[in-house]
Amino acid sequence: MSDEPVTDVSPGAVAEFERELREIARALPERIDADPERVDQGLARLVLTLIEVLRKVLEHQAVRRMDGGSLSDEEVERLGLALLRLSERMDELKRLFGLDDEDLEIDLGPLGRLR
Amino acid sequence: MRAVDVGGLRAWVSDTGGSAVTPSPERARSHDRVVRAALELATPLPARFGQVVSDEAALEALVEPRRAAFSAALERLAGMVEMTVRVILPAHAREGPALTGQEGRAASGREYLERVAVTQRQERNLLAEAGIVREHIRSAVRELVRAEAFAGAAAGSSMITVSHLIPRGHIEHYRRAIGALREDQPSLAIMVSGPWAPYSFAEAIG
Repeated sequence: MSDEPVTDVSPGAVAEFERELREIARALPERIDADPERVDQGLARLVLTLIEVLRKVLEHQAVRRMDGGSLSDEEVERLGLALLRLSERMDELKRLFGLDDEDLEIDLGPLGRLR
Repeated sequence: MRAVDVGGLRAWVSDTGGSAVTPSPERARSHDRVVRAALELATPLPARFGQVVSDEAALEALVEPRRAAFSAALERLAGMVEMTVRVILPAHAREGPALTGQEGRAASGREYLERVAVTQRQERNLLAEAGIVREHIRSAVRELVRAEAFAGAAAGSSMITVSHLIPRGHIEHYRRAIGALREDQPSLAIMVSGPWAPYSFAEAIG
């Protein structure tokens, strides 16, 4: 009944897979069980994830309106600057709570990942 | 390592010193060895690495309310194994439009929005490419698989992962089918591995 697991990689692609898999391993949580000290970070992660979702929606709308030509030059500039500042503020908050982009990803199953 | 009988189901457990298990490569490997040993006997429901209960009573309290779900899952997975295909998407899907001159902070609101637009286009390209590759894999192994689990590329990555639940008897066929796909699609870097315990298909264990 035994079948030893075998890993078979396309010739020439070993280094590439090694890099990708190392990256995944890096993103795995340090600790599995719930730890009271980490509750704050968990909450920050949840709140920042929600803000990130809204930020992405706003960016999509802004780009759609810019591409659709419905914004004046001045409006494009104002909208772009507001989104730039929001993005910088998010980066600060992520740093503050020790989170990175992967921490704020939502896996939507068959719809893919929100990022 | 010992087996504990929990109302007709058998849980494989080992004793730990503390309330949580700190992951390390060595511990992950020993967890994997245990799951593999179980897989040689029959297809198990693999527990997530690092699940800790305080004692056997707590184990029973954990299993008891979900016994029916566990039994149904074991029945569904009997004789099945998981095979995993990882594909690195071809370079043209990753690169998209040129990114030159985009280092550092955007100098204006317009420049920021234009950069965002480029990134969004790249993400759409990657998503579309991932969908195409998923279809290639699906049609290569369609006859052999009972279920599929898909994980798209994470942020900054261009590797997708597709896991399949297949009957043990199909392992060699499956490997050959992926080998044929590799020949048909030489631009795709493909890694196939398994058989594994059905980690991606053991939802009941939560």
